Amino acid sequence: MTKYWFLNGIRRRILTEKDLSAYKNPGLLWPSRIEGHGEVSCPVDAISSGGWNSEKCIFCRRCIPSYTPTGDQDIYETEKSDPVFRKSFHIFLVDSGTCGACNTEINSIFAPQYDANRLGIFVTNTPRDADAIVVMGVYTEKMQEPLKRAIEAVPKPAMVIGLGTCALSGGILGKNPLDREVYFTRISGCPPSPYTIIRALEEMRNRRRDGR
Amino acid sequence: MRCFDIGGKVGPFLGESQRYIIFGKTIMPEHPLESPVIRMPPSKKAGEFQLTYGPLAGGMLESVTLKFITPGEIIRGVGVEDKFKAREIKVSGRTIPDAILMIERLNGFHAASHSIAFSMAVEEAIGIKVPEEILKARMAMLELERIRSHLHVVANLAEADSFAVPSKRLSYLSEKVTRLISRTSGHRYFFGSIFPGGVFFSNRDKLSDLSSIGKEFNSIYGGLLSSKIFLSRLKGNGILQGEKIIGPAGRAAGISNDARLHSGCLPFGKTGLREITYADGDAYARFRVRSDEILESIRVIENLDLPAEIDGKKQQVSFDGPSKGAAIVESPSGPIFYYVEVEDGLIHLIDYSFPSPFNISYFSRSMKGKVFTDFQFNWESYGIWISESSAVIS
Ligand code: SF4
Ligand code: SF4
Repeated sequence: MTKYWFLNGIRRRILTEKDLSAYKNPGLLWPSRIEGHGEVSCPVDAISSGGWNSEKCIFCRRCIPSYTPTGDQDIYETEKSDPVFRKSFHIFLVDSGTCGACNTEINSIFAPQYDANRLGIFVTNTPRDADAIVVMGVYTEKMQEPLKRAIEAVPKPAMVIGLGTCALSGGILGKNPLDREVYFTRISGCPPSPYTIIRALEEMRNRRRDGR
Repeated sequence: MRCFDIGGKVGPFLGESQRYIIFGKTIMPEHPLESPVIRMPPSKKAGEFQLTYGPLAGGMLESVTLKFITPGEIIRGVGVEDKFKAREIKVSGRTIPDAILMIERLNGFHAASHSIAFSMAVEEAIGIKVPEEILKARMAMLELERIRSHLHVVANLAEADSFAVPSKRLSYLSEKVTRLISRTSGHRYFFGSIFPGGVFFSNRDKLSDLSSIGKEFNSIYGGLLSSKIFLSRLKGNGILQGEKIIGPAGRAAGISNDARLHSGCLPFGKTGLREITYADGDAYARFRVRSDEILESIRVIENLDLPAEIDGKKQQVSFDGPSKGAAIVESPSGPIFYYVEVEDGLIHLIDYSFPSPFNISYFSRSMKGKVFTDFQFNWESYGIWISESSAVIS
C-alpha cells in the first residue's frame, strides 16, 4: 500500500457492476417477490385472498414452503415516470422511526458496486435542494413535525418516496408515518435491497433500470 | 442460570438494565443508575450560546438532535436528544416467534447480536438445549456482523476526513460482507435467520471471500496508519478514561471487557479469540480496536469448523425450563443483555441493557473542551445507533 491513494484507487480498476439486474446475485432471495398458494399464518396479514401484498410483507419466511421467494427484485410501484430528472436526481432522506437498516441500505447504493452517483443520483443535506423526499421508518410522534416541514420545504411538485415496509404499512412495529396515497413511489422490502431501490429510482426518472 | 449467577461482582462491568447490574459472570439485583444518556446540555453561562443540530441533519445517518453549548469555538458541553424517533416496541404478551421478529428490528444493523442474545435467554427460559453446530453458526454470524459494523465505522471515519478513496474502498468491502451475510443467512441483515432453537445457516461457499476481504482491509488499514492528516484528526480526540466503560470504547481505554471472553454464554474461549485493547482512550484507539477486531473476527470464523448447512428446523422444546432466562453477547458496539420471563408460550416480561445509551454518554463526556471539527470523528468512533438507544420496549 503506497501513500498515494489516488493511484491505489486506479490500480483497483472499475469495481462498479455494469448490469444491475439483481437476478445475477443468486443469494438475494429475501427480500424478493414471493409466489405460492395456500393458507398461512402471516404475522402482518400480507397474504390474503387478494394474494401477496409486498407493501405489508416483512419477509420473515414463515410462509415457507407454501410460498417461496423468486429472486425478482422489482417489488415497487411508481405513479409515473418523469424524464425531467434524467440528468440528475437529488433526494433528501427522512428517518421517521427506522431500525437503521433502511438507512444503511439506501446508503449502500453509493457503494462502488452500484455507484448511484454515476447514474446522477445524489443525497442532499437540505430538503430545499431536493427533488424528492425519501421517507423511512414507522410513525413516531415527535418526527411528524420535522417530516411535515421537510416535505413543505422541497420545491414543488414535491415527490415523496416511501422506502421499506415500515414506511408503507407500518410492518410489525407500528403504523405508517404517511398515508399510502401520499407516496409517489412505494419501494417494498424490509429493508429494500439496493437493486430494488436503484430500479425504482431509475424508473421514476424514465431511465433504463439496469444501470447500463 | 446458564450464563450468570445471581449476586456478587464477578467479571467486568457489562451494563445495567431496569432490574440488574451486569458483570461478566453475575447479575446483581440492585437498583440501577439513571439512564446514561445525557439528553440535556449544561445550562448556558454568560457569553455562551446553544447550537442545535438536527433532528434531520445532513451527515447524520439517523434522526437525532445534538445541542452544543459553546462560547464560540470550544464546546463546553453537548446534550444528545435521541428520542425523536423513539419507537414503542411491545414485546410482552407476544408469542415467541412474533417477539423475535420485533427484536431483530430493534437495531437492524446489529440484528444478529440482538436476536442471538434474546434467543439464548428464551432458550434457557423454555428449556431448549441447542447443539454445538448451531452455537458455532451463531458465533460466525456474530463475527460477520462485527466485521461489517467495524468496516462501516472505519469507512465513516475516513469519510469524515473527506478521504474518498479509502472510504469508498471500505464501503466496497462492507457491501461484499453484506452479500456474504446474505448468502450465509438468506438475508442481508440476518432477518428471519435466527430464532429460539435454531438458525438458517449455509456455509456452502465456505465463506471463501473472507480471506481476500481480510487481505484488502489490511492494506487499506496500513495506508490509513501512514496518513498523518487522518491520524491527526483522531489522536487526542475524544479522550475517555474510567473504570466502567463497556464495549470497544472501554477496550480502547485499556479495559478488558469483551463479553465474548468474560461471559460463558457462547464458547468463544475455545476459538483462541484474542482480546484487543489499547491504552489511550481516544478516537484513534477506538479506530485501532475496531480495525484489529476485523482481522481477529476473520481469523475466528476461519477456525470455527462450521457446519455446511443448518436448515432452520426447530429444536425440541421441553417446557420444563425455569421460565426465566438471561443471556449476553458482545455486539459490535458493546454488550447486549436480555432477561426474559415466559409464561404459557408468551413473553411475560422483558428486561435489557444495550450499548448505545452508554456510547452516547461517552460521546457527550469526551466532547467537552473539543472544537466543532472534532465532532464528526468523535461521534463516528463510538458506533452509536439511535434506533437502539431510543426504542422503548415493554
Ligand atoms: S414472508 Fe412473512 S410477512 Fe411475508 S408473506 Fe410470508 S409470512 Fe407474511
Ligand atoms: S422496513 Fe424493515 S428494515 Fe426498514 S426500518 Fe422498517 S424494520 Fe427496518
